[in-house]
Amino acid sequence: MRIVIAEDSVLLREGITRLLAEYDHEVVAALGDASELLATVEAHAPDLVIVDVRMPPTHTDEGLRAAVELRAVRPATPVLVLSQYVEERYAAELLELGTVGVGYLLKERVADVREFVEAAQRVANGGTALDPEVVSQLLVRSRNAGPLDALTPREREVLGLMAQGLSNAAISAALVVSAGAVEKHISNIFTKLDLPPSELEHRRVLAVLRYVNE
Amino acid sequence: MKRFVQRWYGPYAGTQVWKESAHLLADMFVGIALFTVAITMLSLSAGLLITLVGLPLLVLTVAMGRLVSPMERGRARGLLDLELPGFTPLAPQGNLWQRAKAILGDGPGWLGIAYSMTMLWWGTVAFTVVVTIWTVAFSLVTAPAWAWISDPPPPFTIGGTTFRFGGWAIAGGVVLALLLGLMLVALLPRLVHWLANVDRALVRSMLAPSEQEQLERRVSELQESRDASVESAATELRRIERDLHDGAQQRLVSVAMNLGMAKERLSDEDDPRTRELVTQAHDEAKQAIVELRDLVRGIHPAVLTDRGLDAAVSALAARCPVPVQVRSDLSSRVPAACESTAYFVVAEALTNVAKHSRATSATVDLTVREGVLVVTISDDGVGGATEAAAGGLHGLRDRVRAVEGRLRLASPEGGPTTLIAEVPCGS
Repeated sequence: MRIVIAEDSVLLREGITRLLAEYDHEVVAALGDASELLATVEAHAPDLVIVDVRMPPTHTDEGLRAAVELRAVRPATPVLVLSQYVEERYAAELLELGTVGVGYLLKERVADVREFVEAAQRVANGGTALDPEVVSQLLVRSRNAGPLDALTPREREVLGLMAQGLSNAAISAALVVSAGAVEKHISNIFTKLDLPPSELEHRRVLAVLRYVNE
Repeated sequence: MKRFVQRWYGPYAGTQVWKESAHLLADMFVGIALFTVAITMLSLSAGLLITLVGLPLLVLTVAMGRLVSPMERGRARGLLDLELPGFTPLAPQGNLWQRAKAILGDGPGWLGIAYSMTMLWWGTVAFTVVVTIWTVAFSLVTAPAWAWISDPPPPFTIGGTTFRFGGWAIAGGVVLALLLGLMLVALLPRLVHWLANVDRALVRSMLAPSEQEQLERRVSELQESRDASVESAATELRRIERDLHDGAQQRLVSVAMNLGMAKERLSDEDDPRTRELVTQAHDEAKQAIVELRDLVRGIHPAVLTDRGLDAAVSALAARCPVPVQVRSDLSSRVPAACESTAYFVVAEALTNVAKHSRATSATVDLTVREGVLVVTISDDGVGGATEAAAGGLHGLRDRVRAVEGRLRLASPEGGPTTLIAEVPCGS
């Protein structure tokens, strides 16, 4: 993979670069703030962009705004956003522009090296990687939204894992249930949420999040 | 005898009687000067009022009236040991006409003019009385000297009888004069002091704010300084949060990442002991990150700084094991101190809901009504919450009171529990 990183902490920027190099990914550009992100992506056409939310000059959400802008201009560019803390609205803003190749992870997930690289790979391949904490917050926020009330706890669990971007096989492994059971749960969820089934992972996430954001 | 002298003649060793006398003597000259200026300005303004020049002149007169207070308070501070606060400075706003009107309606300005008028006649009285008592006292106590240096009075005749002042008569007169003089000298400091008290009363009543005004001003000063310290505490907490995030946390993440990489490399080698140690270090580093994150959240959560109350409360609700519904009609950010107060109220309340209430659901309601942020947290639990039992509630009350807010708890046995915090947010 060819990757562009925007991260203001030198320590983490270099750490992540080294980490990705370990798994044979190349960081083609590493930025200290978000101002040049769009131009850099235009120049390098990377397979993945990793952006920190909080960056200079205001240290609030310029990284996220740059990512949203980038997605608006080049919707096909996979973006993985790293954040100090979970903010469901960051996720929502990001996902509004489509869920193909989008990730939102807590920064500290880079400590789990292998999982982090897998998530990055998944996003680069057009998949989704949402932090479990993001997902739980999204689901909590919508507990009272109506349609989700109809779900059983198990189905809610499955929905959460789906939103994280896990495949059916990964879900069945995570919950220690058979693949058939997972499929049954998913079709129940789709029925209860009134969603037509779709074979694409990201469509499922999109649909789930659309509901969540209503 | 010593005590007697000390009591009646001691004051002359001090400075008070001299300073008060000086002040009273100066009163007349000050009075003449102030009166002259004031009456000239006033009559000029009045005379010219039909032309355009009169009004600005009147405004100038009243503005100058304000200058009397600092001047005369300075004199009183120096000579009467009277320390008085000044009036609140007049800061007229708006256009020229509005400012002129503000000055014309300025009480302290007119009081200064009134003082100038009063001072002329009072100064004259004071001067006369003080000069008289000092000279009479001086003449009487020095009577023996006068008797000594002057010739005996010539004899005079009334109704055929000739009176002649001889030894005893003169001696008697001198003694009488001396006694009267000593009495007057003994009383003089008190007389001067009473007169000076008239001065004090004049300055206090006309040239300084009343006690109530002083109290009001003190209250508003205290309020300002309290607001400032609450706000600066909030700012300081945000700074600490940012420092922890940008410093320690980044470094810890980096450490954990490096340990993670080391762990992955080691998996292919056959050094189980090292791998175990690295794995342990990796886990501990990750645990430290989580702990640091919780700590920072307890100080001042980053999401509150960046995204405001609504978002921060949603995050709290998401972490609460009891399902929480959040309703918010906050359309804009409220001041930082209100945000953090409200946030910690919700945090504490939800902690209590999770720990004690046995509730199956809870709601958090955020709304701004007439400049007051109202935070309502209710649950369908067993109730019976008291401030003592709920521990943290007491600390919350202090926190809410620091921003002039109110905290109300309703929790009958059997439930439900409702906690309402009202925090003025000045918007």
